[in-house]
Amino acid sequence: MDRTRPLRIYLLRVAQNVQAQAEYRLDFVIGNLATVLRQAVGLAFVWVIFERVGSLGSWTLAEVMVIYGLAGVPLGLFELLFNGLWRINGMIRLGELDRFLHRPGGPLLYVMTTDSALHGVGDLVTGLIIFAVGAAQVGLSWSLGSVLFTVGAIVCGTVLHFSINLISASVSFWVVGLRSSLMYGVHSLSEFTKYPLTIYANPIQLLLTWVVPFGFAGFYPAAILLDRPETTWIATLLPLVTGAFFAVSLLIWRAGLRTYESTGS
Amino acid sequence: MAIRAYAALGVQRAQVALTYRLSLATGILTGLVRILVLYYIWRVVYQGESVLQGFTLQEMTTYLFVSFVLRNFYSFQTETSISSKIRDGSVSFELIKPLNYQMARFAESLGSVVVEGVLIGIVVATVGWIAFGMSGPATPVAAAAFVASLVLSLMINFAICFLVGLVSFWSTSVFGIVNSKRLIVEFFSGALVPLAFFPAWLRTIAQWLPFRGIVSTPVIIYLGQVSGERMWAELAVQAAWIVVMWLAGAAVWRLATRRLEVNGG
Amino acid sequence: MHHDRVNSPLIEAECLTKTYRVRRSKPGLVGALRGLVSGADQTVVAVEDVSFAIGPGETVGYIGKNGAGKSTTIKMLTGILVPTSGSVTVAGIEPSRNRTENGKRIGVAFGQRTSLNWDIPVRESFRLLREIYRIPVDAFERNVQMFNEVLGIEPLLGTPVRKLSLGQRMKCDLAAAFLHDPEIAYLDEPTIGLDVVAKDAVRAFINHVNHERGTTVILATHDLQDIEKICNRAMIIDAGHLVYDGPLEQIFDRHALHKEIRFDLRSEPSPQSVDTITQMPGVEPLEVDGHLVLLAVDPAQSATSDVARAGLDLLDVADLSLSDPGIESVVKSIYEEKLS
Repeated sequence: MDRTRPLRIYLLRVAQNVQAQAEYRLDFVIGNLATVLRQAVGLAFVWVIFERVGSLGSWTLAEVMVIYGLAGVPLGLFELLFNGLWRINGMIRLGELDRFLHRPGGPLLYVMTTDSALHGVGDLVTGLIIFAVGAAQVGLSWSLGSVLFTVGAIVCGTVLHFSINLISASVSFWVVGLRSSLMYGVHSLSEFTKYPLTIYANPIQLLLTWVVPFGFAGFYPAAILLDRPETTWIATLLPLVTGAFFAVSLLIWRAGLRTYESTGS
Repeated sequence: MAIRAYAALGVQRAQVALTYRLSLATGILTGLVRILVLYYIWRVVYQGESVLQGFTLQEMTTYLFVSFVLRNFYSFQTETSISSKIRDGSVSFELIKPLNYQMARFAESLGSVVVEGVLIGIVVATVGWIAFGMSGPATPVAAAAFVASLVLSLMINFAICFLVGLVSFWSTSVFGIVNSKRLIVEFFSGALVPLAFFPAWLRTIAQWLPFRGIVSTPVIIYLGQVSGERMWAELAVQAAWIVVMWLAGAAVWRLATRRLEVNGG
Repeated sequence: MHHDRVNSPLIEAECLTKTYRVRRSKPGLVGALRGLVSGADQTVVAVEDVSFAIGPGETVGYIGKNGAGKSTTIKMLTGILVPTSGSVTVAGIEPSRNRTENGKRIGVAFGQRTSLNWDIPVRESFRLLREIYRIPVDAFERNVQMFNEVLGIEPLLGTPVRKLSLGQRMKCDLAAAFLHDPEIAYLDEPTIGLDVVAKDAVRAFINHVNHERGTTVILATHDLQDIEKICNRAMIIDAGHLVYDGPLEQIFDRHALHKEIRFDLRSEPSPQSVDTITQMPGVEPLEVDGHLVLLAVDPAQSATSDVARAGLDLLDVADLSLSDPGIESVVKSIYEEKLS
């Protein structure tokens, strides 16, 4: 099997998902309106606090917007590109993985493309806008380096979302009766990495940095862009952490698959 | 004795909910993390201030924990089960039963919600009490009124979830809408930030929306911030919204069923 | 019985029509995205102008290919779907407007999915149904007993539905449909995917209930043997229209005595080869299309083995199969009879 085949299968399936959903115009509009509102609400929460207090610890509103916006972009990309992961729990429970087990490219390729959420466009665009507005307010200067860094951070962030979600989804291979509550619960932690991590107590910072590293998907890269000295050294670990979690997630997935196949459905 | 039929539905749902022990456990864990994060944000905000908008830090902590308990009397399944039943066609079986569809869905949601809400609520409230200095209801009258308000809050919550769930009679990709609705409701119910913190114009909007009856009203009754006549007025407003949203639900449902498309020909 | 049927029909459908609006966009991804921005709606007709009357105690087979409109009609009769135009009345009421009232009298089993709760034992689902339909305890016990005897579901009662095989699940779904002694039972493809033994058990059960309880049975299916074993009346629907409504015997007498032979070919046949075969006595081409030759053979005029042998000699056959006639040939011959 040639190397480009998995990529072509991936692109084809994503295109088919988009095509199928594009049939439903109303869905598309409502779904994206809804995500825009959701982003707005998350920001409004912070804004209401800022109205009363003026700053969040040592962070200004514009800085918080940079973090918030940058955190939203990988989320939107994940929803567009890999949203099928949400279905894993149901597929394991109902034995629906079987039909993917022997297809070229491996079952993960098919599972992740079972769904592509077009409303990810809303997250993506809103995130970029909030990021841009915040960056302008802060007076961020753009060089080739910082642009490349931002793009790289977004890519890493998307891979991190993918890896974390894959791990929490794979738990269903061994634990029955979870439904999607674990995945949803772990994913909901990412809401809080849209705000500056340094305001949280240490245990939480550690959790969101090393255990469920959503912090690397938005906050830490943003901190580098904002030139915040206290966090820069952690932020340079970005590619390392991304690579490690990606590798671990694939290992766990494969182990889970072996368990699934051996129990026979 | 139609009530027996609905009660039986609810009991069965409760039984099924109890079997998902792991789901409950992860619900508790992730819920605690979310409270913690909010707690830390507020603690930063309270640095150097002892009272903000009429709340001391202790009252704010109590507010967080009680509002979390309230929000757990709410099952994610309520909106999405309507949508998944339409997608797989099993809504047909609900439509041919000699039961009022809205009432039946309410009975089912009560079944799972009460189990999850009580169990998660007890654990979380205990943690709040022991570790974070959460306080009890302001007065015995406040405690009794709180319980009444909680029941009303449950019903408003259902009525809203039902209306949103009905959207799936028009389109089955409701996940984006549901997610966003939850956050909007979260914000305007006062779950993230007490309404007292909203700027005047936003507070006015919130006053006229039904969502504050889900969290804000019961909690401020608990804290004793409203009492006497004002308290009864708040309870009446909750009740009025229930009537309005329930009737709206019935009306939209009639429209929805005319529009239904079920697969297979 | 005839008298009753004409004067007091239990189910009356008049000019039943159901249409859907579908957005049709140009093919491909780009076309679909363009369709997001612009594009016209098209109307798809699922069922058009269907009228009939059914009396109490009848066993009606509602036959049609997949996509012909069977399930859509059934869903309008049960009140699940609201007709776009026309009306349906069941025991004097409109099913979609009086769901509670209608629900008490009907039982439903849809072959493709279960009506029972997936996670809990069958017995628990039955108990819930007892509450919902307010079945008196003795009637409930009596029915469960009967299900055990005729369908043999006793060993299944303690098992959650998700652990049952297709055949076992189907039996439980059927039992559930009849638990509250409904006046009318609507069964949509109740034997689909079942093995022969299970099919026989299901058919025997339906007959039993119809004979013992006088339950009116509407059976939607594309399996002609279901109809043969259970029904006394057949309605055939094709592309949304009712093309036949009458006693069962007529169909089988006039339209279904022949066998079907199917040749799947590796290469396209020469017209002479095809003609040689179709000119054999009693042989009629049903479909000749590229790599497929589908023939109807009247066994009184030509032995099917002769026709098979001729095909194997003259055509480049990849696969050969013989079967009893399917819906397609019955419908085709009905159309032909109407035209002649």
